[in-house]
Amino acid sequence: MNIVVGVSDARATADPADVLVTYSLGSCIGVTAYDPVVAAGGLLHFQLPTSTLDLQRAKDNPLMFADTGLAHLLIWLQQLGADKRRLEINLAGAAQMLGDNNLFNIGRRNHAAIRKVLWQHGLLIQHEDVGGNSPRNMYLNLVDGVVQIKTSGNTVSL
Amino acid sequence: MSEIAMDAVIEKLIEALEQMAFLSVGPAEQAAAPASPLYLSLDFSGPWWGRLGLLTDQGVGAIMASNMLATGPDAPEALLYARDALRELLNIVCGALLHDHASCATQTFAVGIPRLKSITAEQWNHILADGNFIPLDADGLALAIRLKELV
Amino acid sequence: MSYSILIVDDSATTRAIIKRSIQLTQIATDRLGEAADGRQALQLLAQGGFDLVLADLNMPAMGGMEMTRRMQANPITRDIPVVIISAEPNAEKFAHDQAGVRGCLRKPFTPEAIRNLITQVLGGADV
Repeated sequence: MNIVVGVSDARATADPADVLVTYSLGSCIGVTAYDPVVAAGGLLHFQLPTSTLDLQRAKDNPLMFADTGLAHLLIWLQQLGADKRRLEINLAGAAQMLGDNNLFNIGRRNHAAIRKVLWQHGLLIQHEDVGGNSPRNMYLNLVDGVVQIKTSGNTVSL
Repeated sequence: MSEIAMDAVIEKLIEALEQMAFLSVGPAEQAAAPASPLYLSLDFSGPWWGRLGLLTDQGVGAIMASNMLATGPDAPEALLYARDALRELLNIVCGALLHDHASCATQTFAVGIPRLKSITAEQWNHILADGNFIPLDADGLALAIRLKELV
Repeated sequence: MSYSILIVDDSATTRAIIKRSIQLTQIATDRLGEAADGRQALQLLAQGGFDLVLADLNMPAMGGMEMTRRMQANPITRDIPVVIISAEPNAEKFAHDQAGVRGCLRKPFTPEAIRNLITQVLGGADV
């Protein structure tokens, strides 16, 4: 079944019948992590680059930020039997939305932040679909780990 | 050389910091002298002669090194490699700029070795007053960059 | 199969990021050597055993261009592939023209670009 991941939200599952989906990724970033051996996967939809921006909000909702959000997702996946060394990581989003400054936009900051957190965790990105100025929907199929991105009616598999 | 817009210099600086040091850069109104001010410069020659100058804080180098090495910012390695990270940053920004602005493959540039020195707050203000430095913010720390034509 | 790779760059932080990038791939390595310039690299290469050299161009003492030419002149090192990882404006031209050079990556690079390059140059075997 489709499990919808909201904004500042994350879900993890090991049911091969599930599809994790998140809608309207603008400057936000969707992160999927999938272990093909145990077929466990998760999806995080974070809004802001670092929890140091607002420690109270990070305490209330750690899934809002790249650093605390990814840390939670990794713990949930580990509880489902996933091994961090096997995780396939994919990213989508980080678009420059209307009126956002070109050189210093929040999408770019989010992208640098999640890359830093992944690097600290020892995880490399398998594929990514980032930038541009269109919103994206992101899907993770638990049966095979395939990640699909829908943008303006077009669908691509990462 | 005036063909190189400062926007291009800033873009190359942002790209280098984002890609290799996982560090975001924001705009800043002004660049007040930081706790441990440094001045770096790198000369190049070829179809144009110029000097890329960077005013920054030792702390920016420590954050860069910490991010690149995946250690904490207070780790001994981060402090040890702070200056190395800043020299490499200037080298990368300069190379990327000249690569993009060489009009054909036969245009070749010779790029020097980055020079770095500790300066005082007074020297910081003096160099900054010389003009054309663009102030920026890297994780709350000061950074200012300039491209100067040499004749 | 497991590989021995030599990283040649005068920046210690750049050597560290390249080394960690390789360690985070699925490529098996016996040895990840480091040298701060071409002269140090040639001394290490003379001991034998390296399968790949990742080299910067603009370095003090001896740059990557001179190092690669000397590797080509020596039967012991001639067949070791060299990949240029450099900010040098003319890096691609050197990489294209010089025998023994198998690829070129411009700085700044991402860790993922290092993974992709090494996987490609080592032929995708055992990765």
